[in-house]
Amino acid sequence: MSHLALRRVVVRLLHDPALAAALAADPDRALAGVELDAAERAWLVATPAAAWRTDPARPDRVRAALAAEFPATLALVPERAPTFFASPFFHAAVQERGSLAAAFAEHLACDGGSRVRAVARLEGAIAERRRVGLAPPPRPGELRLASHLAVVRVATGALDLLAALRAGTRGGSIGPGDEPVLVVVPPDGEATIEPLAPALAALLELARDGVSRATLAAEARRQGADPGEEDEIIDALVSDRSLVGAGGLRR
Amino acid sequence: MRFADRVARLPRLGLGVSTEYGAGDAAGALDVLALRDAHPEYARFLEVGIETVKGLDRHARAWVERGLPTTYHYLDVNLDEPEDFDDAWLDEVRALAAIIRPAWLCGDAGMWHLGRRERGHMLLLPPILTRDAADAMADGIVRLREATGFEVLPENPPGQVYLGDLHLLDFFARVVERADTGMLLDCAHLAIYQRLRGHAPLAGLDGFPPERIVEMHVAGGSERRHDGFAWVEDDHSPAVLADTWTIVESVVPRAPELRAVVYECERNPLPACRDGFARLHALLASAAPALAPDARS
Repeated sequence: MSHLALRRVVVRLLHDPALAAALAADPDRALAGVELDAAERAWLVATPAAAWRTDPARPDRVRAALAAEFPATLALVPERAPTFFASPFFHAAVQERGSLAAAFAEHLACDGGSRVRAVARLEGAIAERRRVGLAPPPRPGELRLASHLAVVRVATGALDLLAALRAGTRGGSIGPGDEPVLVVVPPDGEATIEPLAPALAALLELARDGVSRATLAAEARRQGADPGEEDEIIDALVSDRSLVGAGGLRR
Repeated sequence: MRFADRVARLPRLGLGVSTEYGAGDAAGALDVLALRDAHPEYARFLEVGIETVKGLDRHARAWVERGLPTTYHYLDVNLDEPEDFDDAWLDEVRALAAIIRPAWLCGDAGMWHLGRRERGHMLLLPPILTRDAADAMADGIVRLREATGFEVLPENPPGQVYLGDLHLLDFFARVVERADTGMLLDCAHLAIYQRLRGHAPLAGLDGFPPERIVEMHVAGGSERRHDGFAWVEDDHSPAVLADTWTIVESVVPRAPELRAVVYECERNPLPACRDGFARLHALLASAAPALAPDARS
């Protein structure tokens, strides 16, 4: 399947002028780590350098679209955005069929300290949920966290920091511990992030990939539910569509 | 059943127009239903460009609600990447096809998205022109045909960079032979390729099986130059290049199974497109009369 690897190199060349320049200067170094045969390398080298720049505005368009989803993070590290297409995160995302939004979040977070990492994690989680398509139904007899929800663990104080940055202020420091939050991205509405009680977070995390009702009930009891209360908790989560799955309600 | 037999069941759609989500709302865009009412001979069917995540816009829905013929042009599948055929996407394709009831599926057989199918990943690049890539493409076509029950016609995509050791027409000859399917020959895209490679407009056509051509696209393009590199931008303007007309007028009389021709001018007003429609209609009337029946019929 080296034709796919070759085409992904083409994509990288169309977005990263530094890679195009490196290809012209030192092809072996520029293409190191990519499984291409000699003929494929020769085709790339023979391509006129200007052919990689026929749409010079394309990288800016893609970057602007990504930046629009990370306003708070970029308020902290605006200098990171212009270097995205030269980053290993971008190149890996293309070459390994990954996600540009996830790669952008990693790129922003990798060199900015704990405040940047925390905010990038939250905005990255929203971006990820926006990209989740229709999930297949849970397996029979199982309940699963709804696809518009995600439980994310971030540094304590990250939610307040995000709110401050969104309000245009600098925000405070974040604590050494972490806390769970619930990311909610409805299909036709605005994304929200809310604090989550640890016991509820444990239940929802357990249901992320699908789990039986009995297992959920056992976890609820382990988290402190009174006898008989676990069913009420699970029913409530099914009723508000936090959990999905056929046969979710007891009755 | 082999393609040679299956193709006999495909309708002869004639001359049609194309759209994609939102195209009809652009300033000065072609109003496909108004065109249908004023010049039914120019808009006998609508080719609907579809990303499943977007679905159908109001123009496509209005066309479908009138029971008019369509084809389904996918904009979101890399046919040569097995990972692209996930169940959720196939379910959405089947659901949309059930709504528009297309004569067949078709679309550029290239790279529609970098990375996984995801928001912000869209682009369009041609395939790598090698035997391995052709075989992978053919496997994807068969898979999509079997999953949907519709014929799947690959289209040669546009590009500014074509890599590989095969001529584009030899590549697609191998694809359609291995997938045992028909071809959507985009004459504007072929002209772009021929010029980039320094070939004459008709180079390589003698080696392509004309009986595989089921649909053709015709569109305008704009000549560009950047740092000494010259290429043609596939901008679907009404100005069809002379090279493209040369290809169209050579192929139409030689394609016995031709069922449909699309003049891709969806973002332009009718007065700017009228000459192109008229020229194509006249060509079909003389060289493929089954595709251009009298307007009263």
